[in-house]
Amino acid sequence: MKPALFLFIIFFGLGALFTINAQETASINGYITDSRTGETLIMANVALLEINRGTSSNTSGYYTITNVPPGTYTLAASYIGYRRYETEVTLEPGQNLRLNIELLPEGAELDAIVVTGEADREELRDIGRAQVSTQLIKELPSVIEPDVFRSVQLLPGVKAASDFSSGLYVRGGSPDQTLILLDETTVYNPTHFFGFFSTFNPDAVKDVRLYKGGYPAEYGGRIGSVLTVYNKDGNRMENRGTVSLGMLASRASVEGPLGEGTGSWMLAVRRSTLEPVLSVLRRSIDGVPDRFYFYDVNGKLNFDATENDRFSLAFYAGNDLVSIPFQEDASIRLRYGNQTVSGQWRRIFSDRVFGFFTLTGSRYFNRPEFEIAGTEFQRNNDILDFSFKGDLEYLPHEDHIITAGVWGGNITLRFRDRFDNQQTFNSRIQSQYLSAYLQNRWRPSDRWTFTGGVRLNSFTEGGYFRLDPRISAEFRPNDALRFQAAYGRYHQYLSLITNEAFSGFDLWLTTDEGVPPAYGDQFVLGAKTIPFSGYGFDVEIYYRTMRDLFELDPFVTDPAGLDYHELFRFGEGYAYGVELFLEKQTGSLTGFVGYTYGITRRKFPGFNAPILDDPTRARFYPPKYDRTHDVNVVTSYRLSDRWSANAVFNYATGQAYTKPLGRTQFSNVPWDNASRNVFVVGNVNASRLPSYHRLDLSLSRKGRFFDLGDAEWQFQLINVYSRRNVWFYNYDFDENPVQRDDVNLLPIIPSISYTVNF
Amino acid sequence: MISKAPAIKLIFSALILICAFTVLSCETYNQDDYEELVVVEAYAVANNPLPIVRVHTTSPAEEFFDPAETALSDGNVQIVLLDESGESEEVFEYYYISANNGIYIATNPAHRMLPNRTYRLDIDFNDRPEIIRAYTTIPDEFEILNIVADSVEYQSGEQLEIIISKTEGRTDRQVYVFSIIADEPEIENLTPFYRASFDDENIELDDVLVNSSGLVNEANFDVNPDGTITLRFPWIGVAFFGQNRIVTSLVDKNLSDLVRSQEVQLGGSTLSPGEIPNLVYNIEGGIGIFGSISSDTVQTNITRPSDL
Repeated sequence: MKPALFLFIIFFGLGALFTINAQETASINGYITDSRTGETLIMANVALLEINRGTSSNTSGYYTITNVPPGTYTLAASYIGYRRYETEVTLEPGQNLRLNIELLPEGAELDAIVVTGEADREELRDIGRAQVSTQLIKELPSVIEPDVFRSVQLLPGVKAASDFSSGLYVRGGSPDQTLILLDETTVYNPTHFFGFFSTFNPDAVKDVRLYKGGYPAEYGGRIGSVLTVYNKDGNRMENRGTVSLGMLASRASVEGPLGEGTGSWMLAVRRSTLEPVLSVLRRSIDGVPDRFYFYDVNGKLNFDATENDRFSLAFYAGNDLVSIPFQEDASIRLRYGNQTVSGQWRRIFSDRVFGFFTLTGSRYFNRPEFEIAGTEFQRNNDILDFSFKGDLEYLPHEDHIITAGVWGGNITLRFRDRFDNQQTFNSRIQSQYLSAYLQNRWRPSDRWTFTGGVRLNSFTEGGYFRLDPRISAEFRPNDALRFQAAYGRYHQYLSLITNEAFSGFDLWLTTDEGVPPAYGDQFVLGAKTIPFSGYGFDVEIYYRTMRDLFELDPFVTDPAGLDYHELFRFGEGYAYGVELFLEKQTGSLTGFVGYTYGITRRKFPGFNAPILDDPTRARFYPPKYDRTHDVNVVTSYRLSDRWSANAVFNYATGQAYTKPLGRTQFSNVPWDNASRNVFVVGNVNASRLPSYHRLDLSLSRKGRFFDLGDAEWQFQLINVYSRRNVWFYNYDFDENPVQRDDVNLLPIIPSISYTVNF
Repeated sequence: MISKAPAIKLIFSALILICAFTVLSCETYNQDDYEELVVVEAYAVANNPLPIVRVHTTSPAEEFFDPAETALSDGNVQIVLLDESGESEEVFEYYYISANNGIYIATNPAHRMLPNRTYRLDIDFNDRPEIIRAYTTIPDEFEILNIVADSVEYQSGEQLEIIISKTEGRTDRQVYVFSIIADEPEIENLTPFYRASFDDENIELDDVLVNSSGLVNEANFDVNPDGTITLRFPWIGVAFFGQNRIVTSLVDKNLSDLVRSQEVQLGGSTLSPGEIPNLVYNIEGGIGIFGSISSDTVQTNITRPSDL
């Protein structure tokens, strides 16, 4: 892509931007909120119908329409799940009208059983972008807890590694290729229960948005995708609360207004309630943990200092701990967790300039400890990341939205191993990072929209500077059809060392001298349609490259004494695919069907080389999570005003695995008691496990809890027909011939939960 | 809205697009067929006689495995001592012992493997096309310099300490294996952790007669200013109370590569479950190991604490 093209897109018409219109114009702006709670609504649509001028609210819920000729207009606003809002506004020459819009949730004043659709319920969907509603997250059947990540995994292009992993594998990328932001703050290990589900408490979450690929210049730092999660601000109208009791975990949240309508607060806590179960199990089963819990706390405080200035302070703290004595004189203890804090100032500088400035802090730690026969092993892995972000939106002209920002910070990663009271590995990397972006969204006509941007990244450790161009275009031949295309280059300075079976040992490592950042190009083509009223049908095709991938060399079994760059292997990869998404948005039966055809491949020198060939050669191979076909069907049916049912069905091609072809034995290794059995393999991961499929059902009944509040029972059945999906094969050399045993995923699991909203 | 017919057309177009995409992007990445390979196994020990060489083949993974069936008896085996320029200095011929499965023995019983010297293993066959070639450089000899205590109490504050002499040709990461061999391997002498493993039938007594540390590189220990290394023997290695011999072995790259990569194949690494790599074989024409070690041994008595 020629730099000139980007410059053209970014700066075209900039000369015109600063010209003053001969006719004095007006503008209208404000926040779009939920009328019952005062929560700001992100990406809500707002438009002046007579002149067909529209926009959408930003991540602060703020909208602005500038350069409006004086006159009287119908202002309309819409958002999925809310009733359409319309009002008449009259704009005088030079007027800057502040109009905060409150949208009424659908069903709030309607007794109708069937959710009625709005004629134009159209969400602004840029290419590669997907949203999961918090309502859906709570309604879907789920193991242990309603889960943000499990819900995101249902979207086309997103795959799960297994029933035991909530990791997001987006468009052929590994979980570390997705930047996860909670209230603008990076979260490094967003899991509980060692990966089983994510840390985000659905009671606290307001908005979940996934940028699957081709994402714009305002984000960076990962070569794959971005998941943004915004917690609720808190109810600005009244004090409310929720208590939910589950079999394995329970949660509670409270929220309310602050002062005289000048702000709000929110606090949500969640904790496992496994101890009684473990206590019973310990009486009869060995190896049951003597301590095992997880918890998380989310909080947020909002304060409107003036009409133009809003401040917020948000925090998150989560912790997992397990302690397992096994056998005589041996124990394992693992503790890991995250803490984040962010403070934000949002200011409306003028009708044309909106800014938000954020200070963030993020900490991740894990502390595995083993003690066996008086010999201790301890590992400490810590990340401390403090950053400053500043973002400005500038609307110089009705056809342009210019956004610019910086993100700088200091990240410290520490990795220490101790064995038998001696330090065996110690690495401490401290690096400053700074990135800046400039982006222009240019809408030269009602049919065309171009977004061009550049992002400059620097990382002091290793002295890396990289420039990432991004561009996207959209063509709308009519109201119901959009064609979209996007290209972007992305760089990544961090690599996650993880085990898909167990995220508690997750370890982040950075670039450094001799360890250059990974980078990749993404190309995306898409079509978004509304084929029938109340339906949406989207198609996207993607191709992406991955270069200079750096990950811990699996053959480095003893890192002591190695130089930092010797810990890694460096490889490349690519992924491509097609995604289809058919959604039914209205009626008593709603839901979606998502289908993905996807291919992903990786290559690392010395890995997957033909056995008698040059061992430094390599061949591309599919990682385990590569699934050629993946179908998700998600449905929700309202049986009555009290009862509703949900179903989720997933079918996917079996995961890749390596089939052993031959075997041999090494009988005389000098210090061995017994022979070492060895497999000989051909192409790595060239075979496939049986196809994966699973059906989950849930049934909900709404009611009242002693006139104190609304209540809901939820009955769930996970894996209804108890399909014994295979996770991987285990080979038992004690049997001759070698016996292959299936290691299965989840069986049928019933669960029940009770929630009270007061 | 789009009218119904165009909408159906659009969906059909998308499906056709998918089909075309699927066909066009069909990548051939198929499972290989099994291929029989020659396997070689030989371990040279510094200052010891020429090693025995075991020559056999792989077997199909899913079939009954009988080591006797895999032995190769028609090989021409020789080990060559190389000079500094890599040329042959002395050739040692081998012969096959028919009573032993695939085992070849050197005709020269007098030669002792020379530390810091490189040997080459050559094998060809009268009835097979493979030509096998491998090299090993025998690790430098070393000795344990300190006088090891006659008696040490198990899990006491005073760990068994060993000081290893400086070796020639040292790299930054010499790899050692520490093995402890019990002289009184009785069940009642098992230390608590191993006794519990034995009682739970997780191990058998034979499994811990020789208890090894696995590969440990010297960067895990204190390197003294004079180049010697001080290490403290971890208690986890002690399986039996009583008299124990502690063998310290310095391991060459070939053996180190084989063992560490076998641990990875067994799943002890960051690879996903089911992602199985081959081992690292430093051998041409086949697979296997031509490795070498040097070693020294001390003896001590591990006594039982009064509370055990």
